[in-house]
Amino acid sequence: MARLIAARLGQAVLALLGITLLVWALLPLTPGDPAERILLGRGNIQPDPVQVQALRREFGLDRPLHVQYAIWMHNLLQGRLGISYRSRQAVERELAQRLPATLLLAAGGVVVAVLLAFPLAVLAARFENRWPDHLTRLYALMGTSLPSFWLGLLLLDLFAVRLRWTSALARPDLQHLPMPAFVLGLGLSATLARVLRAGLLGELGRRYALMVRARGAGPWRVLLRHALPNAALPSVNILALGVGGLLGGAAITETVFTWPGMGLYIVDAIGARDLPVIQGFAVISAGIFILVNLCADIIAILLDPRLRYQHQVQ
Amino acid sequence: MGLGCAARSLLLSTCGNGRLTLLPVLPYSKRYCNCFAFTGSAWPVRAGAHGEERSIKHSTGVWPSARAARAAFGRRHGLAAALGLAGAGLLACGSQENGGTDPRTGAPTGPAASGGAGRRLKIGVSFEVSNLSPHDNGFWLTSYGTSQSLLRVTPEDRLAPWIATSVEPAGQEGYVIKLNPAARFHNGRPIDARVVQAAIQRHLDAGVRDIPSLKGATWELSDAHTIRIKTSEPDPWLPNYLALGYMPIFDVSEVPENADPATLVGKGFFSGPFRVTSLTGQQMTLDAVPDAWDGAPRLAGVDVKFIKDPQARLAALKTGEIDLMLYVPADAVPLIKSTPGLSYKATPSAGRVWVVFNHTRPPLNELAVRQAVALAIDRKQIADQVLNGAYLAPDSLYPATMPWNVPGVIRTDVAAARRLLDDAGWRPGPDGIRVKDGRRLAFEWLHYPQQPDSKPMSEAVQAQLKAVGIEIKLKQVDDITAAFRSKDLDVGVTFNSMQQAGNPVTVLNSYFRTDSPRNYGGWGSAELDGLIKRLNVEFDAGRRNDLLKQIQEIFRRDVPITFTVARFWAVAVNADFAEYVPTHDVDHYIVTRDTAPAAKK
Repeated sequence: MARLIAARLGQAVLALLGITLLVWALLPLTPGDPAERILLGRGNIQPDPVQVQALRREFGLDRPLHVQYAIWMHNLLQGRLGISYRSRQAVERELAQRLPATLLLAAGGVVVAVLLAFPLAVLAARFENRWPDHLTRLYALMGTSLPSFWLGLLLLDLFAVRLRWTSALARPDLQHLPMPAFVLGLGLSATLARVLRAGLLGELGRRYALMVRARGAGPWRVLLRHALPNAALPSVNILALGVGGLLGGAAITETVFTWPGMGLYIVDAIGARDLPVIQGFAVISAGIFILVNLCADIIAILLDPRLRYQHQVQ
Repeated sequence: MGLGCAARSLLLSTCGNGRLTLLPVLPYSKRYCNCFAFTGSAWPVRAGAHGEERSIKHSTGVWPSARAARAAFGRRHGLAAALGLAGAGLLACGSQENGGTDPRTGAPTGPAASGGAGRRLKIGVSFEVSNLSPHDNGFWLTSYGTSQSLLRVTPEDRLAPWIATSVEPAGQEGYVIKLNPAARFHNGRPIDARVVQAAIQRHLDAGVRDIPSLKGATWELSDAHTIRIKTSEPDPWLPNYLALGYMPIFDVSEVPENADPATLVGKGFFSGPFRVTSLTGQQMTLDAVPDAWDGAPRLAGVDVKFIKDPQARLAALKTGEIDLMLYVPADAVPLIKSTPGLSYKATPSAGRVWVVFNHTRPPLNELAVRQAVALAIDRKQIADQVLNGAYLAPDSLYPATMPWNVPGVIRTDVAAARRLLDDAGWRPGPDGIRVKDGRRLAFEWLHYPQQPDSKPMSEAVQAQLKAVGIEIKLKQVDDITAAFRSKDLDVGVTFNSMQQAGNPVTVLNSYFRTDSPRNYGGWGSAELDGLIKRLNVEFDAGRRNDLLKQIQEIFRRDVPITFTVARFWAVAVNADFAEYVPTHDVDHYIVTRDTAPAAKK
């Protein structure tokens, strides 16, 4: 098992290296002069050629591409992600200020997704083809169809403006977490509910479930004690993939609720063509995504002996 | 999260209105009620009449007992219904920051307006102030009352004293600047000639503005409050540059060159009635400077909240979390006007929406086509009906208050547009689009998402031009400036202004001379070049006005660009600031010493 985990780690490192190369390449491959873009981002509509040249020297943009990449990687390994074109502050500092809020929101979204998906899927499987099942499938359809920005604005208008149950401007704390977390987690919960429902029905149709029923176990015991642990494994992978989606989808939710996370920050950076920020965010997001999926792989290995056995056989 | 907790929250939130509404059949269990601890409050809360938090218990005077609740609710319920109510309970478990007015009744619900003392103004804006660098954000810092320029611009677009009491020409060779001896920075240091020279030089070195007459200029500091500038070339418009909010005066000793912008908060290097005490990615907090050199402000402070999404800004205005909303989208104007307790305030500005033609490409290189496009655009329809009155239909290049303004340069005459095209040989084809020598009268029209109003406006123009037989294909581009600079376009729109701080010359030099760096349309006129050259050095106001009038006649005749609508500088306010009057566009002065809440009636 240790070798299996080590192999997964090695793959993760290679993936991260490849991503850093692609992310860094954003800058030289983007049309236009990056030094001019920096000045434009600072509001200098007509950059002077002397100013452009000075800025190219300041940011090392006049060096060969491979040297620029090496410098960038060297800085990255030391935790330095460059200087924002707009604010002229260290990107890692600005992202670090906002990362906790995004992680809190993403965690809230995951919790909402799990709390909604698991009970609904269990109900749907227990009462297959009856109204709980129909309701769950309708919920799954709506959850994946509703645009998050629309839902967010609707809830904001209803609960903040009309009912005054919460504030329109969110602060990154538990008091303001429920609504944005609900919006963020709804889509993931819908997918998760569908996958888990299908998995549960599949497990309930298997021979061991029949055997357990024959030995006198009630339907709830068969479902919760036997089928659910087996059906839950694919959900771990769905959750891991969903974390990446939550980080990306958080930008829309953060914008609607003015949640001061990385997503809102990156939306501004994209609009302003602030490439160091975009690069920094891409690297961090990729790193988190790879880490989460690595953890999901390891959890799967730990939970499912068959994976360890298959590896040993190979 | 207990299911009974959710049920209780729903019960109590309805009870909070003082009346018992229809109660669902739900279980209740006292042991679940501790769930509210996670929100930090024992009970769901509402804002009271004075903005304080009041628990539902206090507001109703009723403490629902466990027995009463059990009597009201049944014990058995569907799990799905409880889950849904748990969600509602989650949403109900939040505190609310309230203030301002109830949009339903218009009654004040927030902290009572105290006439100035103790009252802070909360502003919602989409543009973030990223740092306190005088070079990067001088415009915003002046707008919010933190920094000041040598001169200021009045609502009539005239120059008035500020840190400088006067800026008088010394012949055609320079100026004499006299400073107000009382002017000082927040750190107490006086603003003297040496500091002013240093600050302006730093702005020039940082490339904030290109002022050719100050390159190589000679500065003579006659005394502590008098500066004699011998400019490198005659410049009758230098005072207008000195009035720009982009170049505020600051104490250079507290702002080292290439200083880390993150270290600038808390330093007192500006001189305005407000001082920045905190700056985050979400908010900039300014406190009043009671001993400001030109008088204490009437507000206790200003909280500028960076809210990118316009719907979120509007929601915050409705809930009272902000008092003043900047950058009101056109589609929100009818809603604001119809909401009790909110007001839409707008002042005509010098801003215009430019329609930039590429004069090197057919058919835009034909004068008749450009003239027809200019005449066929129904600006009043766009302003009033398409953009909900958030814009107005201009009839001139400049505001009516400017002495050189020529009304009627911009006009709509659809019949004249048709005649022009007929006379030029453009005949209507079978589909109504005109054709000449086998070529359709069609071209591409670019707009951009950073100005959301440009899209509906362009769509309206498309329909209007089609009526006279001109086909335009709309295309949204991410970066309109890049498109202009590439010169790979037919027509593009941009939101701009024909003057800055009452100075029309900068724009004319930048965009309309044959050799202008931003002459994106590639249009050239020796006549206009000559007029601009004379205008650059004309000190006599009467002759300046004549030159500018001649320039406007060239615009009318040759149509280098045309315009669609003119912008208002518009804000939305709640009842607490119902008397707020927005000023300009270029030099906004959003907050001044005299900004104050509405007087209580």
